[in-house]
Amino acid sequence: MNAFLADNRPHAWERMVESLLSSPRYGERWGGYWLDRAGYADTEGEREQDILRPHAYRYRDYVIRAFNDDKPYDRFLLEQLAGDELADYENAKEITSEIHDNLVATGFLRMVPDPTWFNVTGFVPNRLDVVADVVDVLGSAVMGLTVKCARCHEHMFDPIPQQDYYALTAIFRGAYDEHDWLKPNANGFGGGGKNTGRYSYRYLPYIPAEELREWKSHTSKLEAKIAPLKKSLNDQSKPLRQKHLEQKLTELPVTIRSDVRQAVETAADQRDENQKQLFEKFESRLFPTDEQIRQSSEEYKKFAEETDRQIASLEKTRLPEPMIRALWDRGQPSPAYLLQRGDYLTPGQLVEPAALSVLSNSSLDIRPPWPGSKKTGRRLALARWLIQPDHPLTARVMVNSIWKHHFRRGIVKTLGNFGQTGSRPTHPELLDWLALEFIRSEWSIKELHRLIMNSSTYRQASTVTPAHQQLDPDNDLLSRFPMKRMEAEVLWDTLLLTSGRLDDSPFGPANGVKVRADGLVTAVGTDTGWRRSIYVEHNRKQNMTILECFDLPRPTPNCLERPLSTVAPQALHLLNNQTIEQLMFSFADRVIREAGTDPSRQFERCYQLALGRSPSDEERQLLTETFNQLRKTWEETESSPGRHALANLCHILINSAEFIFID
Amino acid sequence: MSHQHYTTTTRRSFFDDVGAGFFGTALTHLFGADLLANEKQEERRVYDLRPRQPLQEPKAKAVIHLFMNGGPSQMDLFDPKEELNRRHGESYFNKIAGEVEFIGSAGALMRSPYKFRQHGECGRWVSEVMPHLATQVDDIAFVRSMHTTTFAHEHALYKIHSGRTFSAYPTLGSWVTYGLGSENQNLPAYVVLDDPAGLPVNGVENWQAGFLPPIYQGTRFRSTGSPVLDLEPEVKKPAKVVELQRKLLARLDSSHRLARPGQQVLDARISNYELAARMQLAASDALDISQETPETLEMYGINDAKTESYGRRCLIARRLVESGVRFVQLYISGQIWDSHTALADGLRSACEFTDRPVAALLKDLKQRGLFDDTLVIWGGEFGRLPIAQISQDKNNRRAGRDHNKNAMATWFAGAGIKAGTQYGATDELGFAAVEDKVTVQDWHATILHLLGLDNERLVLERLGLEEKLTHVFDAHVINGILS
Repeated sequence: MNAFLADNRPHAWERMVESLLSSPRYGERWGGYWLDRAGYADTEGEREQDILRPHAYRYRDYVIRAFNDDKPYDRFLLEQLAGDELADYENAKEITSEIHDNLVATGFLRMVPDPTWFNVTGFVPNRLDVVADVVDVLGSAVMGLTVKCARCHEHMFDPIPQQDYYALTAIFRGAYDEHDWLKPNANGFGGGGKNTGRYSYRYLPYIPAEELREWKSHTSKLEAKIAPLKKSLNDQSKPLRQKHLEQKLTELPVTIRSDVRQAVETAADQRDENQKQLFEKFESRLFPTDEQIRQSSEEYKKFAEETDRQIASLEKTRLPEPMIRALWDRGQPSPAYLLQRGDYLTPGQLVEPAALSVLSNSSLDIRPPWPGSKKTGRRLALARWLIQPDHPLTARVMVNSIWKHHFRRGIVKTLGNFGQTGSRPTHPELLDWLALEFIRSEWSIKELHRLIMNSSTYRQASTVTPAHQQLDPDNDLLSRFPMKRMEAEVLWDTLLLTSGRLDDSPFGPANGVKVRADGLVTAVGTDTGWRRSIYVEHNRKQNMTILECFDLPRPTPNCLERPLSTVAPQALHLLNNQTIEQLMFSFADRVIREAGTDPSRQFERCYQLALGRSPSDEERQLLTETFNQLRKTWEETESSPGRHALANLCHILINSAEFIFID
Repeated sequence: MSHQHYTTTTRRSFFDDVGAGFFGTALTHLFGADLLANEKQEERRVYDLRPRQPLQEPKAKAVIHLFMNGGPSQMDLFDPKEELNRRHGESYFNKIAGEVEFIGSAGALMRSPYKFRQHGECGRWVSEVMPHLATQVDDIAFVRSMHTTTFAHEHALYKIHSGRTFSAYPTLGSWVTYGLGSENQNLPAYVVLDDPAGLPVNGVENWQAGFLPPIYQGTRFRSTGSPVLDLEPEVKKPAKVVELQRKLLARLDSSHRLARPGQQVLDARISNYELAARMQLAASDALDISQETPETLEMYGINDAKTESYGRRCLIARRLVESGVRFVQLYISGQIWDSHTALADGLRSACEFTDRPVAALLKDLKQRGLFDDTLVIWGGEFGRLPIAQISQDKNNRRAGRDHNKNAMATWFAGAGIKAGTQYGATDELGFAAVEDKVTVQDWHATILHLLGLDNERLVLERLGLEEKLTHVFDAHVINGILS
């Protein structure tokens, strides 16, 4: 902000736009919108045991990187819909990052809720529901059509016959075949059965050599740190074990004592039958359990507990073996039938894989993706059809969505429904032009941002004048910039950033959440604070309370547009929550660190950090008065009343409308 | 067809006007005229909790849903089966194999371990484990023929609450508050009194608003301590500090607001901070059962360790309804009705936990004249099988019953209900509803009907579809139980 204000040269605005687009934060922010559209979740959902998808994060990271690298949107879609059919990963000499990314991208089609790992929810109808959700995500997020309506009958409003729905499910059949189903991995829960090997279920092991090396090296370093700890435990306990053994031996009848001793001292594979019997008989009596040794020596117990702690803390840094949670065509799918009234018990005619009939003149060019491949190539054909430059919907739907996130509403307001019952575009020519420009710029999303953000429409103020109220009360004509409320994640991340408690390490496995007895859900912190919301586990049951308060959606199966509410629990949380209160002390400490002890300079710093501006004279006076009174109140009980008073001021700034509403 | 609520896609973006807030009244006062001046009436869509008059004359103004999660056993509570006594021990598995979850432990037909007796003027059969409820049967309409579509807890819970067997659809309470708003703007419209001991299966999904705006989702009230999350400052501060902070915030926000005419969402926000403060008082008051007489506390069993937890929540439910809360829903931790094993003891203790408080609630509502305005509903997500589920130790005294989607026990009482009736019947073994069958949609439609709502007309348009609580299923109001 200050850099922009200080930049008096021409094109300062354009340079600011560039710097925003090239920030690594850009992918975290705008990738987040795509994750909403995909219905990203770190758990399977639909069952009480909301089982984890421990490797789902790779898809999240892939999306963030794709946005940061400005991966062309056509390629982005191609990878997500058919990444497994783009390159022969099974016979590749080397697993390149491209092959890896192709497979990770297919995670897009694996994001919907899925209870099919469990016995009573893993039947054909449950599987068909999963497929229906996948079609829904594809229809709403990519095509802007309510294709899912044609599952049980012809679409009521749009020219989508029921046959088209089943033709579309036939496309996915190489990977989603209800008669040959790969269950979600559900280790630890009986219903899912056992994982029989590395390759089973929904994981693929095609990890680039370098990452694999890093993981192995990380793991062996970890083992190398753990091993001596375990050894020292063993060394320390040895004399105690020996003592226990000698003690117990003396308690044996003299007649067998020496025989038993001999049996114990002979190596296991050297014992004769008699010794084996003796050993088995007395084993439990002679050898102490770990607990028994700890009980026998206070000193050892202390040592062992401390060592346990060290091992546990090292174990926390252990990384799971790298795996890709992917979707892939397995060849030879069963035939697809139209299901009358959507019921699997009443199959109708045979259906061939095809794109939507209303949008295509010719049939899809379906063939195995490379010679000798068992894969059907169906999804690849669908993806190529979707990303043709003359496809009437693909570019418009994406452009409309980007527009929405800039201007709070789409040119077509119903982001996922460009059909008859959707709303008409407010600016149809603009939508067409943007879509064409988007394709002309080789589907560059960043170029689209530039086009929008450098426009005079985008650079308007949000002031509402009487003329606005009269002529464009709802801002349909974009006569001004809309005022926007911070989204849930932006709010939490900003609170962390402002108070200096943001751990901005990117990527990798999600940080978990914890649930307090009264229902409050918070993120598990790191050594330095908390990570950005996008790196916190997106589970389907319990999400951070502050995010839910501020309209974090539950993917159903995905979310194109978040509701925006202004409800009392938001105020209650920001005013009364303990974590927020603590963050405000961090905020105050930071201000004291950076601005010194002069209150006037502190106010200046507070305003700059929270609101990006200096306080007005009037505000300074108000702040000074309130600050003095607060400090006086705290003097009675606290040794650092000024710090408390400053934290109270910070607390009010982050509760102010100006903080959370962006002009 | 004219629709009851705001179903047309309007010029205003879909959810923007949720800004009208948790408690829309203050905003309406501040800005109602402004909104009306700017928009055509029929295109207005404001999501708020202002009380709304339904199209039909309502019988009930409020609902208390005593949700018995786990699946209470119909043939051991309200639906005695002579035939089950007679054929006790007879093999029956082959006839219902597809309806059993735990096939490995399926046993023979099992009679009820309890004695039944007829009660009240209506002569209703009630099992010996519900002696308190038995005294209230003349005010109750029992439905014996309700059934559902799935026997897995999760999906049956989704079904009973939202009409669909999937997650993420709006629940009954959300639809009701979406349709009717609330009579008290200082309390949430839809209050969930979950068990302090823990959440039920599916957790907070049981009261979610799905695709309805989040203001219609259930708000959890804890029955002890601070009722709502963050209602009081978690870190105690001197009152003077709180007051200085409030003043500062009010001044900053009001000058911010003055500089931005026409930004209505800012008013909604300011009024929300005021409402948050009012809610602090109203919510704490609703929980303050020390205002009740010793007789009332005794009646609900609050002085008895067994009934204290549920009794307290039943009493708070009455207080909330009295204060104008629209929909109150009670849950029990874990699954006390899920009698897979040791049914004879387990079901008895589930009844000991709830029977007296439930009967007290009915009596209390009657005494206070609230019974004419309040609908009380009781039931779980499914019923149980007539055959035994054998315990792992093969001890027959520890036998239980497995889930059953074909019949379940449920009842209605209060506003608009024909007292002392019984509706529908199961087969001779109590396995399945056979006479006057009632679906979950019928049950939903009946509750909406009693509130003056029509399940076909209470809709929200979403992606081209008019979403309804009863979805596309046929739904019939159960006229046989209406007064």
